[in-house]
Amino acid sequence: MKVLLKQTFDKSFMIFAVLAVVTGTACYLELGRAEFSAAIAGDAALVAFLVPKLGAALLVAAFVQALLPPSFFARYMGDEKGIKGMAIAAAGGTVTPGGPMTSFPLVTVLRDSGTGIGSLVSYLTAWTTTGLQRIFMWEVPLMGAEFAAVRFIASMPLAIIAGVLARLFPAAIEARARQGE
Amino acid sequence: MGQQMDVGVVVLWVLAIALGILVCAKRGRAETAHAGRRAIERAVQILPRIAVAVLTAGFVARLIPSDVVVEHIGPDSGLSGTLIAMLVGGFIPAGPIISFPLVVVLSHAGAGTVQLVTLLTAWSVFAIHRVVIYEIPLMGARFSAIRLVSSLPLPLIAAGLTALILAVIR
Repeated sequence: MKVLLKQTFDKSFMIFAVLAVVTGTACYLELGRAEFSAAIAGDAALVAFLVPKLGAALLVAAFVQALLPPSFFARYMGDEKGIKGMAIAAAGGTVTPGGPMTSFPLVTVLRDSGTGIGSLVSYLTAWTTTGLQRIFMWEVPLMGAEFAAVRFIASMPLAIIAGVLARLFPAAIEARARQGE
Repeated sequence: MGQQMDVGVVVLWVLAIALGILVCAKRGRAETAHAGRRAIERAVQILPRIAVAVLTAGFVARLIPSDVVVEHIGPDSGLSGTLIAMLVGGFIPAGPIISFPLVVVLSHAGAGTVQLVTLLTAWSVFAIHRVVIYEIPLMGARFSAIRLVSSLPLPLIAAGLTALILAVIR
């Protein structure tokens, strides 16, 4: 419990807490009390609207992680090469739940088991641009379904494009990158 | 709008419960409880951050004059607006907890859809903090360099495709 509290109120929380106080004070002094109260009321409504969704989204992420451990994806991504390998990697990246602390260890496992650099780049690009967890947890609640759908469709080719570009690098550079230099 | 949102919450909770039952059936009770506990821990970690992030975003929204936003990254800001959005997005040193409230603020202040997609894509692929904290230590600087260079055109490609999609559906 003590560790949890320490992780919660860490440095980055403190920085943003200070930012909130600074911008709040500026808002109060520049725009007056009415605007300040309106801002707080708007924020409270947004938090109240987010919390129920976030609770469900966190449960979904935790359950999906329990059902599909990282090794599940590794099995399907390691063997395929070329565009097909990148497409599989992109699909894997899209459905991988969790933050960088779960996806990066998976990428190192994939690299060490011989997955090509194109597929690794495709996986990471898909995980960040079309990752479903982020879309359902943040984008749909905050920006609306239409915005999320348009951005998702526009982002679908990105993972493959980045993977193809990554393979254009000379083999010597790629070999050293593979060794983690 | 409110009606639609309520449906979203219901769908998410139904999904969560269905997956919970599936985990319980496939992996047993201990694993299910463990997953549930992990979700609660994450929630405890995330909630205070959301509160301060949303507060900051709300105040900033009122402090930034919206004509500044419209002028620089509004729907009619063209290629320069897209490039500005790409630059801003690439340098947001934070995860989704901070970035999405910021995007909401910019959206309310009059930023264009194409520009917001560009900003989100740039933030997603370049994310400075993630490169420094996770990618370079785990994958090496060379891998990061190859990935970042390969990702350079992505925000502009997403911008072009978004403009195309909007032209078709609107």
